[in-house]
Amino acid sequence: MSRFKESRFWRLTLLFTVFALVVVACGGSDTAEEEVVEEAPAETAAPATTAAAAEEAAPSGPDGVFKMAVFSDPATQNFWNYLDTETDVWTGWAMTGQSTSLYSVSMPNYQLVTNMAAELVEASTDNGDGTWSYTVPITEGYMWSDGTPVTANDWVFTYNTVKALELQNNWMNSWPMGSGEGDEKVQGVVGVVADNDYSVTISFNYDPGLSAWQFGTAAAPVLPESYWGQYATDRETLLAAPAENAPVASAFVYDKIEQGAFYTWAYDPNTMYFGGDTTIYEAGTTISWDNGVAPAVNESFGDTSGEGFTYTSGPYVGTVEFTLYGDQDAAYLAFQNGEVDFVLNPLGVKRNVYDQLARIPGVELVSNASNGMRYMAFNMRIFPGSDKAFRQAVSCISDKEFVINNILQGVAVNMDGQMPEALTAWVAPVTGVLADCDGMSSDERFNKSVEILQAGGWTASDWGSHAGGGERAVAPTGLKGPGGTAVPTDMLLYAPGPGYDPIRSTFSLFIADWMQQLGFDVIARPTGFGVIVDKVFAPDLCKDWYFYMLGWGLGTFPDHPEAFFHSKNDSCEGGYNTPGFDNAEFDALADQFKGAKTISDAQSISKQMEAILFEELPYLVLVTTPVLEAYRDTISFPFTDVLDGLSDSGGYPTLVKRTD
Amino acid sequence: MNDSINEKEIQKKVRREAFKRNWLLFRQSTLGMIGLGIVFFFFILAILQPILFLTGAWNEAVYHPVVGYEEIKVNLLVVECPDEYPTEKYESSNACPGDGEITQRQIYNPNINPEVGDIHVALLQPSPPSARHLLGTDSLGRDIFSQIMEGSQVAFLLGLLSAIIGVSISTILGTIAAFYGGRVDAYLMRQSDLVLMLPSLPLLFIISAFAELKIWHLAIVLGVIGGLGGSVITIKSQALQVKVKPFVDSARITGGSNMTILFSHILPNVAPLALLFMVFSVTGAIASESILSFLGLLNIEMSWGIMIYLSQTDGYIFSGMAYWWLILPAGLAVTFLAGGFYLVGRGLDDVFNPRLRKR
Amino acid sequence: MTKYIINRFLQLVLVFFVFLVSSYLLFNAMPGDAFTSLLLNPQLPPDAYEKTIALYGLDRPLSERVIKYVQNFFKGDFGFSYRYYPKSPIELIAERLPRTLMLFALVNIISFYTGFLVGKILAWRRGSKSETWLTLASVLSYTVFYPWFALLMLWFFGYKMGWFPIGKFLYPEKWYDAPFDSDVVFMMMIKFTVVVSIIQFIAYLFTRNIESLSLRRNARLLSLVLIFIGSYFYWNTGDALIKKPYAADISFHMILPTIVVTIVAFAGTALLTRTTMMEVLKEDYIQTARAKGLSQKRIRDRHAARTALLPVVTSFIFTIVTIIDGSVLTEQIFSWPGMGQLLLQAVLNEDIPVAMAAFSFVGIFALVAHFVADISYAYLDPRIRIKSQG
Repeated sequence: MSRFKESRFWRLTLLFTVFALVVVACGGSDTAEEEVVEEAPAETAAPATTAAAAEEAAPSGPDGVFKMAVFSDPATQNFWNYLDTETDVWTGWAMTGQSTSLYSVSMPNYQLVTNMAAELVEASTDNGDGTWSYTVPITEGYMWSDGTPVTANDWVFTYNTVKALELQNNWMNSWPMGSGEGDEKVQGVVGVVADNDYSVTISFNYDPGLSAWQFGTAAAPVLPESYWGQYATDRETLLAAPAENAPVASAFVYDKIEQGAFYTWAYDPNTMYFGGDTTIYEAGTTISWDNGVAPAVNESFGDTSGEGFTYTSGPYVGTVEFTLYGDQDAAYLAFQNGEVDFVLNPLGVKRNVYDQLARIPGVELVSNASNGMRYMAFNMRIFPGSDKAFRQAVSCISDKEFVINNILQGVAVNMDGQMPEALTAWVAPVTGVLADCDGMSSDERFNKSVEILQAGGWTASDWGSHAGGGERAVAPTGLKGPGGTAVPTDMLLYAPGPGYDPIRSTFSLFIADWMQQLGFDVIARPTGFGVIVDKVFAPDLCKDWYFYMLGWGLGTFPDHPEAFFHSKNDSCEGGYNTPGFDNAEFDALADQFKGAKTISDAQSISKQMEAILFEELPYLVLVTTPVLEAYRDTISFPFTDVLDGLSDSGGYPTLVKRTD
Repeated sequence: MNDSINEKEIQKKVRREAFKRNWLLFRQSTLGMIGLGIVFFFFILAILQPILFLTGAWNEAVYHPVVGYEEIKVNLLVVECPDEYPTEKYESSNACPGDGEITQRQIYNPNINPEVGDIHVALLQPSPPSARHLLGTDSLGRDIFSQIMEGSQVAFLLGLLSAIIGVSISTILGTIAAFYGGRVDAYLMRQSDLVLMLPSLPLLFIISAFAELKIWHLAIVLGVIGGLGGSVITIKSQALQVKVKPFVDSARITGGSNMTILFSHILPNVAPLALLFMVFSVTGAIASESILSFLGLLNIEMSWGIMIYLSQTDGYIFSGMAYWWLILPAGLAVTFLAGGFYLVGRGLDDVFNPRLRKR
Repeated sequence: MTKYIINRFLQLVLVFFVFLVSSYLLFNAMPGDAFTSLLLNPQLPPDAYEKTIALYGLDRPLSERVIKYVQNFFKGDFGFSYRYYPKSPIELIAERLPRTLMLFALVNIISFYTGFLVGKILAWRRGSKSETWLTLASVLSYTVFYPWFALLMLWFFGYKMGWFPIGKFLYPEKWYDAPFDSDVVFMMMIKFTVVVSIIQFIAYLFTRNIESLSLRRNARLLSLVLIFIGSYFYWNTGDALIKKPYAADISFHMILPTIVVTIVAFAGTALLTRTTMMEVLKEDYIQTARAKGLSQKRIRDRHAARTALLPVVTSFIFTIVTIIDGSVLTEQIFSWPGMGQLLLQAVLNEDIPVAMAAFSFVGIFALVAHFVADISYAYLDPRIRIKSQG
């Protein structure tokens, strides 16, 4: 027996040898390790000296590393490819500043400011031939990182490339191609001309408003001809072109790229894009920038009255690192261990992780509203969704507050209208049944909903009752719509399952239950996300569903109500208007909105549109989610209060400071 | 007349005795008995839940595994944690806030801003095990014990259904392949190769993306995939061995039709192996469902996999043992029920495979 | 025999063809497609989706696409990835494969060896109490809910104890100045592991017939020492010296996944070995050996174990086929960006070209393994096949 045991010992030794060999042999002696450590500073020394040479220009040659965790590998480093193929956030965040634009927005107030443009041109010229133009002067003196100046030719080149190579997706968003005449007309850009090196004229075949000009083409990305010209022969070549050494219009360039593991950016010692003070007001921004290399800027945008705060741009770090983790949990464990400073996360920290992080000293917590909404849509093409009283009654009896406060415990924030609350100037006051039923108890909601139905011409053999408190209502029986229309049975409410989104899943169960208490035979059906999308966006199925729940992520400029509810965007014809909302008054306002040239005009029209939506309720807007984020106190941000959170702008690598 | 009745009775008796003998053999297998005990335990759990609801011992509004809810309120003192540790009150950062305390940072509802020293009324979700909730509640205030019971029903339904479907298919196909040979055999074997070639997990991902996959759909899918795969080959080999046995030849000589030989001679002799396969494939089906649910790919309302998935999406799985009732029961249930069925299979193996029996 | 092989080969080609077509149809039948997200972006013009799918040829009739795909496939053209356009699936696989091979080749060797040892012990101690407990433990580690178990292990060893890194396969800061990328190091490590394994195996072959136990042990120890010395010199000279710290970093990240997968995977081999070995122990020649008075140890190692090894090895070959399949969960949990993650992402994103290429890769691998196994069965005892599947 003893021999047997001995032998087993040997077998086990043998067994671990293979593995141990690799580890031990690789580990090697300490001297070998030191050799390598010595190598490292030798290599980084080269760029360091260059930085020292440029010291006069750049007062602070920044060092230090800002480490961020990401959950998904960037698909490309090529900016053309990024906008053309899959526009996922991870790819976007790891993009260096390969593009620039005429205008941009200042954060965190989303104020429109100039970028390369010398002034904000907000009025178009009617050329009289069915085209309208904007002529924008470009500031002289800006350079790409390869030393070539930023000129009007870059705009011409980018536009021509997008047009000639038929680039797709987001390129079509910022550079929409106009074509055709009359009924065939597709609204868009019809020409970009360089008047001279520092003036560009962009022409449209219609008179565009804010969303198409200021927040559209004027903010469209532009890339240098000097580098990309050689690749702009066909789409595949351009998208496959190497971008590791592409010129940038910012302070960082790619350094080390280890696909599937990490990316780093390094500070470009010759950059002109550093420094500058930005002062943020409630509805305005002042930029004052003079670092001795780049053209000096001193301008105010919007309403700069009232109190503001100022921050100075960096970069304050020499290296930005994006490390890949397989999932959130691993990333936050690494964050807790101090391996990364910040986790880029479009969805924010999970609820319990936030709780856990709150216990850890040295962790700063931030909570912001996300720029998005989750909603339930009624199909207004078929009964009962077509009945206004029905939609109002359902909206009234749905006690969102109960689900949010009790069941979900604050992982969601109530949202009634189309605008995120953070865009205060855009938010319209809540009117209609949502305002009337707010704060009601469950029996009051039930009685009010019954009243709405009765007033809407509905009949029932027995209207039921509600005993109040936590009890369920006795549902009305024999419900008939106005004119005696029979109510369909077995109506399905499609919503993502608990696996995809517990919030919508929970809401769907409760709202279906409330509709049942109101006498409607509605069943919540947890359904795959892709299946719902297939069902509700397919033109030929646009009458085949009753209710569904999905969500929207929203853009910088809140022009989404037009896309969601204008009758010309009906999903039966392939648009985004899934409820089939068709309201002439709304359509007229939406058209006006599209042509609006100033923010205040747009805001007042938007509020009128919202009032119609509160009355008609094609969507029952449910909630938005707070974006919970955490960063280590080894770094600091100039501001943390920003719609959609710090992750949305990729963690502000040019503003972040190391505090250790 | 009399003879045939007698014959039937004798057959019955023989069967009863065979069963008794096999049961005795099975009982000798410690592992098999342990497995049977585990399976029986979960079976009791599965049938107990409807009984509790029907008798009214449990109120559905509170204990329903999916939409049940109970408000458990606690008063928490709002405190501020020190920057430096240890202090008189707290030894380390893990001790602050202590029991019955909360810090301002932990309240992430933007509408509530209590001062230090205030009493904050919070809803206790998830709540730890108590007399009312034997295994506590989850983050949505639902009873974990009831969810485990529901998950047990799902596991039995799915496991047994898919195993029965799978084994029926593979037994029939395997026997046919062995019996007819030639082209039928070649076709069936290549079909098995084809199914074995498909990477099984990704294949399940694809299938789970199809419209509204319910538990019993999944059971059929798992059953069919399992039934067409490797088990056909094994059962065919077993059937081949039976086919060359003398009694099959004698049946053929006495004029038995193909069907008779297939059903009364070959199938019964393959049956033990098939039963064995069935028990093992229950293990596989339970694991497959759990993995799909765990990855959030199934649209079912409750299962053990979903329970683990939810505790993971809420971030509890990495909080260690502080919330053990969210992490351990579901994971252990999957492990033990699958293990239980596997052990029963081992026990049956001892019974049907005489070469393995104890001397 | 030649006729059989040719016949079998033709069948193989046919099966592969059916496999290609049916996988394509499966992917196509999934709801939505790779570009569905465009439908959900109100910023885009409504025809953005139609234009894009037309660009990738997804608007063509299904039959046309299938035929085109199969034609191109046999021409060696796998198309472009939808997500990583304009990269081809082959580029992506070439980048990911070494990482998966390194981790899982090692894990499979270790878990196979552990499993075989444990199985041998189990069979030998049949009926004892320790056997019951050991089997029970093996069964539970065989049926444990793997992702759950792996996450708990990651939490315990990675976070609570802090002994091992949490996921990933390297520490970025160690690689800032690396003059090559990780795949180069992976390839080198694979080569090293393969060479060491082969030397080890040869040493095993040469020593196994040595009768004296102590002599055999010493001989094996010597081979081990030689390997140690050899690898020491290897890693301290030339090219390998530069790569050493990087290889060490990767090896360190491999420890935890290796241990976790081994715990789960060894039991399958152990339970199979136990069964086959117990059958072998009942065979007549073993009984004869016993009657001849040979030592227990000798019977076990020289006679029983060797015979029982055959079906276990066959099943091992089939396990290799499932490497990529099995790596899906492990790679997801341990942030190990290999084939499994590529396959999972491709399937979930409906990146059909990449998913198809990965599927075909696995398929060809499996088909060849089956083919080889079938041919050898034609020569060998058909019973082996029965057992290996049990």
